[in-house]
Amino acid sequence: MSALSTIVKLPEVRGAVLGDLTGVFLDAVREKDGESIAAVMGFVASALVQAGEQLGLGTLRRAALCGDARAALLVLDKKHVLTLKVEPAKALPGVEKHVETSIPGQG
Amino acid sequence: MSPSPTIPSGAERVDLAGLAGQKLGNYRLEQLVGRGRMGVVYRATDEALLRPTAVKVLSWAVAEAAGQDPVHWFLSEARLVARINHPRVVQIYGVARQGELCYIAMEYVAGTSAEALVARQGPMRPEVATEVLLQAASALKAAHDSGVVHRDVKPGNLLVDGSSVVKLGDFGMALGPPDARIGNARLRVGTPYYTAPEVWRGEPASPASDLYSLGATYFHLLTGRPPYAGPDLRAVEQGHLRGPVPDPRTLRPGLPASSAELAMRLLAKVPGERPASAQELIWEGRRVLLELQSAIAAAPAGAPPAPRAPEPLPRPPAACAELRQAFGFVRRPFFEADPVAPPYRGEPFTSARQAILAHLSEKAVPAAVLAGPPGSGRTVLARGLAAALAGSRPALVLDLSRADGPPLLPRLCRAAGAVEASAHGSLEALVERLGEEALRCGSVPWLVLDGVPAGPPPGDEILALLSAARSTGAMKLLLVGEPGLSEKLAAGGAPLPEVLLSPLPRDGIGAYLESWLKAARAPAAPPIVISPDAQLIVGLRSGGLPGRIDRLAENMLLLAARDQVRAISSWHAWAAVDRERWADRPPAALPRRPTPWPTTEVVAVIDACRRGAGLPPWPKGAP
Repeated sequence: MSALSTIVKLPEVRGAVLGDLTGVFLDAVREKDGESIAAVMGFVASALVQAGEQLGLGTLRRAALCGDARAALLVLDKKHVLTLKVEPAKALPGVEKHVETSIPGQG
Repeated sequence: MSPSPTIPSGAERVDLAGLAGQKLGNYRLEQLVGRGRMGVVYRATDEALLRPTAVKVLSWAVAEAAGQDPVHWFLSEARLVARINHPRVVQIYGVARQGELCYIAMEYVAGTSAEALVARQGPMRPEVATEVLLQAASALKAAHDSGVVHRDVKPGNLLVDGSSVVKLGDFGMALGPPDARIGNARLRVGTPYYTAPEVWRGEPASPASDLYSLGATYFHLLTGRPPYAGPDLRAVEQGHLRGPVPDPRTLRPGLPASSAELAMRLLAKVPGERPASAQELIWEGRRVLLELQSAIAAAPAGAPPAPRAPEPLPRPPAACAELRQAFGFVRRPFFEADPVAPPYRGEPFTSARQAILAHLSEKAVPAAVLAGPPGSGRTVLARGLAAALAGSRPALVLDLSRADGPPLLPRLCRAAGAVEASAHGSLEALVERLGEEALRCGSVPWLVLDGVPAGPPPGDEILALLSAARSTGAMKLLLVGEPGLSEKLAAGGAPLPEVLLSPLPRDGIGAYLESWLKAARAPAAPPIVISPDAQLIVGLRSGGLPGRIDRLAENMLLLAARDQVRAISSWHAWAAVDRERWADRPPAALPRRPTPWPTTEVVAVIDACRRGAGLPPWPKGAP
């Protein structure tokens, strides 16, 4: 995902990890344990893709996880899985909007 | 040189327990090894033939108290036993009188009694107790065929040598005084704990009462105590006469039903409800033994022997507290795969299983080799095959990896329920026994010999077995060992078909790990994720051998449990060791992750692994 470098410039994006659906770690910005996050989010994304198919959502593009302090945005692009750590959580809609406009196929 | 001390002659009374060092005929008495109702027994050396001998010296006091002519009594016992020429009966070498002492020289059994074994080690495993029962039953059959009733069968009269061969001794009660055969029960019974009800009632002892005593003995071997262990003689008598037949499972709950039911049938109050003869008991005992052996074949390799506290078979080992609490493991992961339902059923096991079955289903192929390096999963596969076959044909599994174990052929004989006529007659007895089973089941029995030594030359016993399998067709052999075993066993002839168990392929390692995680945890436990880089490192370090993967993986899990993470990363795979298991180590003693991770050296290794798997290199600049 070539847009990774621009997205991580947003102040609310505290870290980002790029992996694939099998959990292979491909890249990370401001994240110490990208390997584990890529592995877990690859597993989660694979499960969500299956859930999306069950729900008839079409090709899954994004999924948001929102906690009371932080949030995470999963961005799926073909075989890639981008995980953005967002803080504060209320900044999630803004980050998602930015993803929609800056990453091809997410609009 | 001083003359040897000799036994004093004349009418003076001799302290029978103080004869060590003295000489009776050719026999130098060395050590007092037992006391019986009729006298004492010494271990001695036959100084003419230079062989160990047991010498039984008569107690005058007992003979006189019984009003017997001791010489007649002794000679009668010797003649009686000499009539029973059987490998499971202690043989008589000679009988003589010296001065006022009479003695019988007999076969010395270097071992101990079954009673002492149970006292020292606790109840026997059911299959071991049943083997003892079968050997004693064959001795009784020989005695009964010769018209002799033993009348004192008990654990103390079953002598077990270092190779687990059992011999029935002390036929002293088999004749006894004539009035002891009928009449006052307290005078004529053998040992109260093992005496049949009809004998307590004063009826003559019979082959059926010997079988009752053997049943009480079997009960003792299985449970560690006789069936009626009352506080006094009257309570014991009442138990035998009127007490309900005790179920050994009340003392040992996990005992297999077949074994318990056989013991109870032998203890029936009415002689007609017991097995009709020693021969019938041998047949029933063999069936029970085969059932028990089949259950063992289905048990995990390396299952702990002889549990003192009885447990049902088989029970997977529990996970340690750290793995139970952190990850929801209900059994120990990566430890002792269940051969019947192993967690992993993929390649190369499926192909290897099919290849073995294909080879051994050919009539002209008497044996096949399952070869693989240690840790390749060959034992689990072989035991699984035997367990799967056990329903349709007899399948015995023997582990040959113990260098200190008894010789192979006698072990196989006992496992199969065959009674060998001599040390050299094992193979004939085994072939005959397996032939009987083949006729009974309609299919040729399998013998699975695990851990066949690789080093040349192969054992004579294995070559003899192979030769017997080829020429008789009475058995199929599956020999499990290291690659190249087939050529070593060929001995110049055509090599046996060999199925090579290959290491797990790279993409099979992830499936292997996943299958274990699924099999060992509660269904609702949250997932554990193993990163692709961790899987690559496990593959590299294990060489794809399940035995090494198992140790690495369990140690990885222990590290992750200590770190309280559910994602297993390259660091866990790098730090875990494959030479030992860390389950007993305190968490604080486990290695700590360095910062930063991975180091340059590790990145180089990961990149090499990734290249081999067709993946992009570790991201530059990360972490």
